[in-house]
Amino acid sequence: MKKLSIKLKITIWFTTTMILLSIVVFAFFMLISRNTSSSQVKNTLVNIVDENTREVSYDDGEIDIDDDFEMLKNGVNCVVFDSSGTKVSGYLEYDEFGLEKLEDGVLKTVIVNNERYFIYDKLVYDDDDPPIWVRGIVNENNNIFLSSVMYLSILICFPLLIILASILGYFIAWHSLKPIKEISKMAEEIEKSGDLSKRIELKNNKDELNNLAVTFNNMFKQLETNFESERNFTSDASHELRTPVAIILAQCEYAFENATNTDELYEAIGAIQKQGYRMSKLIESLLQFTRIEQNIENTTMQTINLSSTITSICEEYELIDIKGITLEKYIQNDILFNADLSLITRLCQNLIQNAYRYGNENGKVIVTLKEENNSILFSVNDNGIGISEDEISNIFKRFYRVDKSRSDGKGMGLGLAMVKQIAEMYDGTVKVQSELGHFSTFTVIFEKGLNES
Amino acid sequence: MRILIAEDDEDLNEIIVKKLSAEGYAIDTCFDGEEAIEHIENVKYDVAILDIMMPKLDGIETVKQLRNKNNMTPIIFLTAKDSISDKVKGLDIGANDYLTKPFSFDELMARIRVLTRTVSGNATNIYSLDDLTLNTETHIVMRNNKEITLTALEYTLLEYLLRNKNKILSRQKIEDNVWSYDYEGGTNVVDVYIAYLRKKIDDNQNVKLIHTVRGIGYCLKVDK
Repeated sequence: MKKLSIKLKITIWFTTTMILLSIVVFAFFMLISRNTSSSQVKNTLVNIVDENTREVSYDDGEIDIDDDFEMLKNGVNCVVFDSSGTKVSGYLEYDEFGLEKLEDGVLKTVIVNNERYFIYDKLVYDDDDPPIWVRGIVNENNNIFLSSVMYLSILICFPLLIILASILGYFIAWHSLKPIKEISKMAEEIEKSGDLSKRIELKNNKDELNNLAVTFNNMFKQLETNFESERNFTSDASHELRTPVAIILAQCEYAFENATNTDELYEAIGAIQKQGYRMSKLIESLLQFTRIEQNIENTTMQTINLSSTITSICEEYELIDIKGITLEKYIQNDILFNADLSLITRLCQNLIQNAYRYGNENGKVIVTLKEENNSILFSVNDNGIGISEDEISNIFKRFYRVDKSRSDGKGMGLGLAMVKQIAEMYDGTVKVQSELGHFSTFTVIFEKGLNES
Repeated sequence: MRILIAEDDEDLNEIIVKKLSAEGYAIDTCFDGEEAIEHIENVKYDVAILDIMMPKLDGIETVKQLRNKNNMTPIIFLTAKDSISDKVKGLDIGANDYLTKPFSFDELMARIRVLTRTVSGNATNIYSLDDLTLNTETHIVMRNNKEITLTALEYTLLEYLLRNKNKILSRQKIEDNVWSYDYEGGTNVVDVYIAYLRKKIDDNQNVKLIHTVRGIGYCLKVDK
């Protein structure tokens, strides 16, 4: 049974149930018809005997049996006896029928040769003449017509019923399993072709299988987006790694074939080292980025004092003193937030670091943290190179750098992508306001209520 | 031979320029698509090597605009985009060749030779006139079965003359092709180098190949 397909199983179950059901119905029907038929036989017997009594009379002292007297009608055998009990007319199949005592209006049951017979007697009075007996005998199973129809129907209908039931069962199974077949066919196609953009066609009915198809489609969609972003990430990353590799190989080739003195060799080695640093920095950022992506489940939620966290990050930057930039901070005290400390630190660091990187020499970076209408606003402002309008939509993309010609090996174009990813983890949003050549302000907004629920 | 490099990564740009210059090519350089168009429209380059992902105007758009203006400068894409669809797109848009990073200079230079061969209608890398031969692959120059040693610039000049043999070339044309923008030599630089070449090629030979066309420039031919 385990090896059979569900379709076949359903068909077999359906057919078996149908057969069992019809057997029960037939048995029930036979039981009822048996009872009704024996009472029907008795009625027929009484009726025929009664009818025949009208056809018996005396004619000139002799018993006269009219032509309308029916000796055998509907299986009822009629015999005429005179008042002394001597058979006048009729045929007795078994002697026992004649030996039975004559009793007027009484219906008796006699068993001869293991078969049940009904016997009914009727006295006919004709004026002063001695009465005449009319006896009717009938087999209990006389209802030949009914039973033969029954057997016939059983004989013909049963195989027909089985065939019909199995066809119907198969059809029902096929029809109800059709969507499953389509789903598995589609899944197989996707497996073979690897094309995740394919979807299962949906019907309009809203049954369980349709729900299953919808679930499958959603799963495919999710998989597709995941794979797509994975693929983009790999292609972006490989693209970013190609340039330094190309430079290293080119420098080597030049050094081997064209360098004429040690100065040129040193220059080549210096260039190679620079690209090596660039690659190592890139790999580090890539690792960090993928770790954030993969370890979302491993983060520990805790209540962070955002105010003190951000204050200490700001103080670090003030100490390092990059490009003569002054940092101003307006931080509201004791703002609490539920999140992973290392992720939130990374988010704040990336934004402040960007402000320093793209800020002007001797410029100003303003860090603000405040709570307003149940949302937390963290913003970092710099008066640096700014971002043009058409670039704003791109800055959160991985590996996108506003100032592309800066191949100083510092910015990898991953910082803002990380900021966005972390913010979205905590249902936050990142907003940018900027004017090219004047300023940029990045604001991260967390809804407090959302985060705590 | 004059080549334009458009590559936004400064380090990569620098090493390509360095290497190709060392191989005797005259190289101009720029860092974005807009600059590239400006260069190509003003100077006749033998080959332009373009990156695809450049600021301001990407390589694809650059080539599209150039081809729309009927500029047929041979173009090689040198890019990190390595998918088949990128290659097909790049070539269909009108680039003559497509090379992915990281690349080998040997391959890049072989491809440059292919493009210049195609333009000059030469079937091999060997250009010749009378008993003078020049192999653009090995950079070996022979006259009368004797090898002649040339400096990089002399070689580039001879290659240009040979590729345009039997044509009269003006001093300006020669200068444009052999010397890049940032060359700061004297005004008679062409005459000086032609003199060097004459000394190495034509001295002690019966048939003189380098001819001065008075008032115009020079011509490399067999005088009959």
